Amino acid sequence: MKNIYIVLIVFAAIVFASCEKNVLDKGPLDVVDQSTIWSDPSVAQLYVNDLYRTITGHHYWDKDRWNAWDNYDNLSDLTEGGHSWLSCYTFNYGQLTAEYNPYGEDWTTYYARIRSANIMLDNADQLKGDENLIKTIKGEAIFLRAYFYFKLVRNFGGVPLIIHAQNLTDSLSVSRNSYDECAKFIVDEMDKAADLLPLSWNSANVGRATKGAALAVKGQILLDAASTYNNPSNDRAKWQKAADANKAVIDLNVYSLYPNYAKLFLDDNNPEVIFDMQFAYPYLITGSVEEIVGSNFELEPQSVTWGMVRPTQDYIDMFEMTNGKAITDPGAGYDPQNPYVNRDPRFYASIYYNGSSNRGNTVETFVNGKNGPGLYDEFGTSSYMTGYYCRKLVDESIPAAYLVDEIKANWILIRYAQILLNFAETEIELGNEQEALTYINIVRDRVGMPPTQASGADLVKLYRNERAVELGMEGERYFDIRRWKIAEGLLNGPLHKMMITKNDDGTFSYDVQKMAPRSFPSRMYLWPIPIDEIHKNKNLVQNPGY
Amino acid sequence: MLHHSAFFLILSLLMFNAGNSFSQQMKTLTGKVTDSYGTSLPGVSVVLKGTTNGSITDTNGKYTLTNIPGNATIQFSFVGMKMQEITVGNKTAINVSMEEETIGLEEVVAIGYGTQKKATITGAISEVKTEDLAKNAVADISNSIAGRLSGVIAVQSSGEPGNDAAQLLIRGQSTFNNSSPLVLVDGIERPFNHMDPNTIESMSVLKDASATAVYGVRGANGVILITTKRGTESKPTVTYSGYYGIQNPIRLPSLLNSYDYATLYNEAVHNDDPTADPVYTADDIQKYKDHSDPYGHPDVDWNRAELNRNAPIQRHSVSVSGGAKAFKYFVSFGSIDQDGSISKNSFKTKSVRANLDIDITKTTKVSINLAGSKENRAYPGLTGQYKILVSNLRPNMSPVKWENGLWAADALGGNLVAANLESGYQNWGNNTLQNSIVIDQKLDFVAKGLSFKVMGAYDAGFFKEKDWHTPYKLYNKTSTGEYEEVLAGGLKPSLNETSSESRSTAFEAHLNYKRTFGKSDVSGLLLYTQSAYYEDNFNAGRSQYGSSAIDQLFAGPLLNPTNGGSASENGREGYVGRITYGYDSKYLAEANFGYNGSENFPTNKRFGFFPSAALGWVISEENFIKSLKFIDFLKIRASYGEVGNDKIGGRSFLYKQPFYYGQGYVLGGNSPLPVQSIYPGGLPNTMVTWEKAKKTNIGIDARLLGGLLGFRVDVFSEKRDNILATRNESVPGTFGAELPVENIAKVNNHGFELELTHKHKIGDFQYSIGGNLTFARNKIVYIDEPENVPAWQKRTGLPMGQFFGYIAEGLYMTQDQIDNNPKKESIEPQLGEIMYKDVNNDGKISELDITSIGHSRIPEIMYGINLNVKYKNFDLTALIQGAGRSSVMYTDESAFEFIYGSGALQTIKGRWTPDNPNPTYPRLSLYRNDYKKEASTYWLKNGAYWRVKNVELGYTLPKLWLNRLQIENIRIYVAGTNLYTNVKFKDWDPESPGGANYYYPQMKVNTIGLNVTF
Repeated sequence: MKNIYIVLIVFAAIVFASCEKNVLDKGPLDVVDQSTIWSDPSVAQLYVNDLYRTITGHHYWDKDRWNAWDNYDNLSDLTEGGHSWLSCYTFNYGQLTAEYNPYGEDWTTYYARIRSANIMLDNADQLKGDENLIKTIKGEAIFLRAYFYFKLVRNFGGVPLIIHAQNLTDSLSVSRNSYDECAKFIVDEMDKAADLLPLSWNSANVGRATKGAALAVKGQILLDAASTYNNPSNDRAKWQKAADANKAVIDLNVYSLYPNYAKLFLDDNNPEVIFDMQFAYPYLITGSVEEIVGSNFELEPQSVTWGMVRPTQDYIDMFEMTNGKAITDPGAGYDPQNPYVNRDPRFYASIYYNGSSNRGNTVETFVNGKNGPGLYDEFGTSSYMTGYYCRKLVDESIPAAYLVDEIKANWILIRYAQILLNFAETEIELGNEQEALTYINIVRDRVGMPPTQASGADLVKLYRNERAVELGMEGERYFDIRRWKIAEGLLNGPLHKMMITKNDDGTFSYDVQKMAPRSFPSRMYLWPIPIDEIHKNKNLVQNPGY
Repeated sequence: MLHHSAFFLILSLLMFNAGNSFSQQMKTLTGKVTDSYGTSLPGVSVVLKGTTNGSITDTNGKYTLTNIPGNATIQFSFVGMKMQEITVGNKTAINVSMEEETIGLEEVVAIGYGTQKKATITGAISEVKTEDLAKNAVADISNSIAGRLSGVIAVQSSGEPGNDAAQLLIRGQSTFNNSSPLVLVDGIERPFNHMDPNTIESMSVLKDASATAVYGVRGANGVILITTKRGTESKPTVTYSGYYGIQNPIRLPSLLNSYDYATLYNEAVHNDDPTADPVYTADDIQKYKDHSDPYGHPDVDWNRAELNRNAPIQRHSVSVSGGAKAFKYFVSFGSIDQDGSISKNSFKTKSVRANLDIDITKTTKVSINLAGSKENRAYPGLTGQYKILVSNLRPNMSPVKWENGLWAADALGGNLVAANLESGYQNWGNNTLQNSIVIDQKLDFVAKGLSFKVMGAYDAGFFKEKDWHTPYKLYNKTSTGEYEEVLAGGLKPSLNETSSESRSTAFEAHLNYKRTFGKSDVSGLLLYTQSAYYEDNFNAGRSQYGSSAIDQLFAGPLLNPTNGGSASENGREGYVGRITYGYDSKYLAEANFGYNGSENFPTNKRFGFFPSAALGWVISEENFIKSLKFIDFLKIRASYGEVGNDKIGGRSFLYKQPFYYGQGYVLGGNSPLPVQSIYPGGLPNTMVTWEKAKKTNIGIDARLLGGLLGFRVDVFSEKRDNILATRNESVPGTFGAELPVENIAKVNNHGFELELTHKHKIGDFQYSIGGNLTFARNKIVYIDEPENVPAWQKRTGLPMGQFFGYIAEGLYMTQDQIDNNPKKESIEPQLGEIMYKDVNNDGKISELDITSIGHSRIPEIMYGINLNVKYKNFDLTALIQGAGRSSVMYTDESAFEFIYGSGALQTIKGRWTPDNPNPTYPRLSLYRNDYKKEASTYWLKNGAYWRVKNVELGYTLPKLWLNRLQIENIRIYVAGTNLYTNVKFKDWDPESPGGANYYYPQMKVNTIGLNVTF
């Protein structure tokens, strides 16, 4: 029997050693409980921090869709995407449909973030403690929710306004609000946010929304609302509201134009910046806008760069001569066979052209040149080569091969020059031409361009040219030509490129050529609501033409 | 085998007792030995048991023995036949009819928490033996299963060493979520893929509810039981088996050379814009044609430039087994050394195992299983590059090297070959320890037939990954002929290390009862089990290393180190019960249940009860059948039961609303930093529960004509509900939240399995042919679909994974067709583009015309044909394996030449041109995809295939040669795996993940091997 005892002891040992008492009593080791968030404003601030993540810049970017690397201006007359597989070509060939919109996920992305902001605002009243902190995080959440609506409204028109986080038991088949209702909501919310937000932040918090940012977005949405597409009856009151809102930003006396136009995009947090995305190497957020900026911009071909923003000849022709005259002006002194001399300084700051310099190397955009159409036709891009590349935002102090690793320029979302031009536009429309010229000339003066004295239709033309030259490739042009309702005229037919041939004697011949024709059906002034959203919600009315 | 000997031991003891009543007279015994057909058997050994006294039958099968005591037992034995023992008694003549050994009535099969005699099994179980598993020269056991086991669908979609496991599906798929079976090694959930097949005694696949109900909430996807070898009472036996093989891709796509590429590229440019200048001049094209300028006008097949031909693979395995009465052992050591087909890619394992059985008292047996393994996978440093093995880089992009030997930079600033060789390395190391102890105590002193067993197990895993990236230099050649350096792979070296550790414990306590009352066999099982798992990991990295001299963390600057970590745990608990009853080995009944809980569900919904029952009738035991000589064995069985699946997919602890920490936005003027953030995860589902499967199975097992013919048929049907699926489809995006998965979907699955065997022996020539066929088809019974979707786009009623696309009606060949066929509103088709069918007859082509086409990627039919032939010392085995009713969709490069700047398949030479009346490929274009690239029947290929999976020819050295060397057996063989594949489309292997590139091709292997037994 002794053996039996040994066995029993071993049995018992195994049972005790192996058996766990509450083996099912386990929980997640990686999540926070909601109650901790609303019990402490400093934790709630972490929640607000997350709301900023969805802000995108001029480039559309979604980490799950690697071919959506387009600059919004690739959808306009200013630039080409250059790669046939880029999403911009769905737009540029007029193929945007309810079934296929490469950017259609905007709808769900922004509504997801709006829900997240709604959760914050629904719970904000529970917060106790540091009153100042509570005030600012509420202000940030209100600002961001309105900003997300601003992003939606600019592309989709009026959208359903959802201002509380819905429960599954709520009626989810919401209807669209009108464009004007949405614009009013954004304006009201930005006013609320402006009351709660500070004019500026201490250095650790630079990059958060400010009073100025709230007022600037308000100025822009009111300008959008007053423009032809959204204001077909040309209601003057709308223009007045837009004028007042933009003037309010100017009157804050916080912002000023940065003297060096080229450095404006590289010298972070300068006084011209109203709202931006902070960024600095090495805090690269994988899959973020910043990561791919470097590879989108810049020349092609170079290792890791793709040249996906390629100015068209139509854009280049907008740059005046230094004497202030358009190149088409007989007295301008423009030589089509020596086209890159004596141009608006913003040309040199914005564009890489044949013979310009990139990191000490000469840019060759001629046929069979290093950066031109020819044998190294990777991704079939030769036919989309325009002769130009984007220079704005390019930091030549970083070796081209390491842009992905080391890009560090902040990403400006709204800057003061845009507000000055916004205000000038409202003054033109209100008939105050002198006031308009004053502000246009402030912008021109910064780069040393002579003041202008146009009026009437010429002034409108000059203003629009000025706006494109000043803000080109920053993503505003696509919205401008739609709100002015001129996209159909500009984008039905071919844009132009510069074919450059190197002659045997080392000189170059310049020849402007047509590119594959663009197409802009009138339905494309607005994007379609994704078809499956229409399927899911019978109350959603599709935009016209889709 | 253990049970085998025990049975005979008992039998002979009984006979010994019986013999005592007879006198001890010596006598002479004669007789004749025949096979089951009555043919006389020469050469049968006839021995007086316990002595060497004996004889051999003559050419007529006759024998004579003298001086035989009356109580003696005579043993009749012959190779391939079952040994028979007959007590002499008062007989003077004994005629014996020998039976084929392989019939194996006494054979036992591993079942859930025990073993059962094959003859009395009422569930659906198929099994495969170690010899078969060891046949294929593959490093992953899952790749030896296809075609060998009925009821298993296997798809191997990669040939990447160490990561080439086949997806195994038992009786197909019944859920959108995890369909993989539960795999248990010696009763414990463990990875099995890289086990040494020579250490495996058997593999059982439990398929119906009767067999899997004991696994309750984990049983619905089927269960694979792997039993490792154990020692037997014998002298020490040393076995070596090993092989050396060379591997080559089964298939590589045929790509255009530079000449064809340039010509066809020009054609595409011309098609898109007839006024455009050709990209390649006549001079370029001439140079591509005559290869007169290999550096300026290169012509490189990047797959072949990068590929190692004849990459070696070798496996070695040594084991020692044996034992005495109270102590038995099986100890083994195994290794694999496999080279990849690209540079710096390899897979190596080393594994040891010791299985010990000790009888510490007459009624107590202790079993100790210890196993450890060490695995290593190595890759080139650039993570992305190694998988682009089957790549589609264009041939004229750049040379691999310039004339002076410097690496050339291609137009992307890269170089596939250089990147693999010079970008550093990635090493994955995985070490595991698997320990378990089992104590089995007979409790006959409490109640006869009662026993108690406990098992405790502790497994640990240690994973380590080290990624060392180093920059390398490529060169551009300028127009002036100078070499311009381009640094690739980062500015400076960087290092990332990940380390994770897992611990799992398992505990089981069994109460077993097994007893025979007259003709009744009764057994019962009650069991408690629990297991717990914990895993954590952390990672750290540094970059901007000053030099690549030291590849360790400390050697990098503290400029911007990265680090992170996480942890997770889970637990399970359950009770199991089983009762079996057999009457006269004729009428069989069985009932099982599992009552399991898992931590993953809300506290009040953690436990589920899963019952099953089965009946069997061994018709061949009935007297009216016994008289029919051609039926050896015939059994009908039926089972029904409910099982669950708790691999619910998505996140764990679904019943809680999660808020996660993130590193989000960057803030701060001069010294910006990412700020910490908290964000909400998906909504909770407080009602979450497991999937439930109701399974029915009816089967017939039969053996006819003395083993000449055997078959097994199973018909099954499964209704799975409570499948977790998202309701997103009908909730508008404006709601804004990721909805939780809910237990709403339903899938039915049904099918049949067939196994046929035929064995025969003609003189020295023995052969067997076996075939198995599995058919499993599932149908979505309910999923949440948007209401407005047209009927032909609904997935309900179709199999999971059903392809959807346009129906192609050929290419537009005439302007008439363009004018008169429905087309898209946005764009006109061109000649040579694909003509789509207007499915909804609305006069235009739109996404509404997309409908279900073809099958799904997972085949509905899987079959195998096994052939075994033995002639004298030669043996030959072959396995043909195939699959049917599946589809492969050509996408990306396969369906759109030059996309992403890639090269193109030779297939495109059959393109449409105005002069080609029978085009096999659409009009070439650089960007037009509106009538071409979309999923359509034009690109959907029949995925059915069959392949010669394995052929092995062996020669066993004659015993005479070996006796002096004290070697029992030496066999040498040559073998081939994946020797031939028959499929209806070109370019890709039928099991490749989709019809496009960017994957690691599956390998065919030619081996030479050696088996030695001492």
